[in-house]
Amino acid sequence: MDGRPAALVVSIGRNRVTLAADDFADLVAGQLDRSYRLATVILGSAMEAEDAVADAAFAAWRGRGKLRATDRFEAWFSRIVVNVCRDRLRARRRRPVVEMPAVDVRSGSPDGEPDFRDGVHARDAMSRAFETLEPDERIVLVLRFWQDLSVDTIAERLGIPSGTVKSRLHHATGRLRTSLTVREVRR
Amino acid sequence: MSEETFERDLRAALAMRDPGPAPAHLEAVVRQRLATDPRPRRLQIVATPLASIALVAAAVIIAIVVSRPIEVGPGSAPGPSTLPHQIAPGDGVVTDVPQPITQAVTALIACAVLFLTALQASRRRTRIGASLAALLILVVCVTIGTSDALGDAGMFGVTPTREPGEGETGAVLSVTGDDAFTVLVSLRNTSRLPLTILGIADGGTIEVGSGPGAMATLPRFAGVGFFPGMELNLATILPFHPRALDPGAEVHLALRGLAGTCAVATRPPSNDASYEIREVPLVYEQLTITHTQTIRFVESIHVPSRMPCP
Repeated sequence: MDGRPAALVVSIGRNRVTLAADDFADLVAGQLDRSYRLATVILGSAMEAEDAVADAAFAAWRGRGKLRATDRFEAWFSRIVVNVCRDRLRARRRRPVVEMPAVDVRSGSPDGEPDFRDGVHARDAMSRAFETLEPDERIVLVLRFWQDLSVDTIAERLGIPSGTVKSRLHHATGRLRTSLTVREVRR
Repeated sequence: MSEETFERDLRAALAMRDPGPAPAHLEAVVRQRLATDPRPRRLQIVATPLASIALVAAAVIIAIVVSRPIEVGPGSAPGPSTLPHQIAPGDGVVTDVPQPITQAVTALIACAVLFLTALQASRRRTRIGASLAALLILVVCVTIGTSDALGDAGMFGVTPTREPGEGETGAVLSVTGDDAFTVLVSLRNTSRLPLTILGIADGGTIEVGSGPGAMATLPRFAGVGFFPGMELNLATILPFHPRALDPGAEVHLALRGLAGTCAVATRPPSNDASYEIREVPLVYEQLTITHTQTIRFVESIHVPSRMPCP
């Protein structure tokens, strides 16, 4: 070894990584759990998340020339997963999905309406409100409140300014609150 | 709902969506997907919006290179600056004004690619950028050439002239036969884009009448040079070469005219026996597209002529 970090040792020509297909698949396999969970939380559908992760792996393979170092693979691949999820959410808006009414078998108020004093129903209402958010708003909320990433890390991960992340977080939480308030008033 | 409760519920709602570890078959699906990737496509570069835009830019640059050079008269090359310079017939005369076919085709292709990019791009920023770029190209294509970019800069002069007689107006030439005369015209680039003056359009030799013995040339412009300043001093004329003009910049052109074989230096017996020159067609290039603009003189130039012309 010449003292350089391992990630750079495998880098050649302009610090770009050259990976064999099997090595690349191994790297992706190491990120499958994390990526699958992230995609599911963003998309709200495990089945669609599987497709999204497979698409992201394919996109990453096609764009592997942009990978600068293998130790950045996690962040790089995560960004691709997020981008794929964003595209899917936007495509979903162009092809609206008719949502079947959910049958709630859990405890509730006597008239069958959900009781928001119950924590489970509160989270359910939150989840429904989350579905109404814009793709970019969903993504920042997931990265911030599910992955517990800092604003700066989210900014770096998404390739946008920190101020934009803060703005999106502000708008997203505002819209969530509004949506929840409307639901409570309708009750 | 308090901030604390809100955040707790949000975290809980997101945690509810967490499905846990990936299903076992997902790794196999991904590996199979990677294994079935065909070799890199030759045209994969155009698959991304930015690459498409780069391709359009490259096409525009190639179009610019291909569309040059434009045929200009023998004096078009930068000549020696020895003074005085005699403008020769053909100096700065544009013999063939090209049609902007290459540019039009390139613009159409660029618009098509940009619109496709705008339709297919996933990022809003890219969609907006591609749409604006396509619209910009369309606006430039539609508007360019529809308005004249050269305006009068205030200076005008003719030599040799004589005092106008009774009933004569404007500048009256005092030349005989097919002698030369010189016109000073100051022009300004009144557009928002730089342009390059290529010279005067080739009007050809104008012939009068038909049949043997009836041939005579009319007054015409045969060449062009530059005045270094606004002074009508023939000893200071510089040879012509295509000159770039930034927006608002001025240039002083020395137009060499030939008065025609019927020209007379003195007042002809009849007041009607006079030709009038009011304008000159000037050729310039802007954004690789060549235009011919008719420059109208501040006052008309009269060439007294003998009638009937021998």
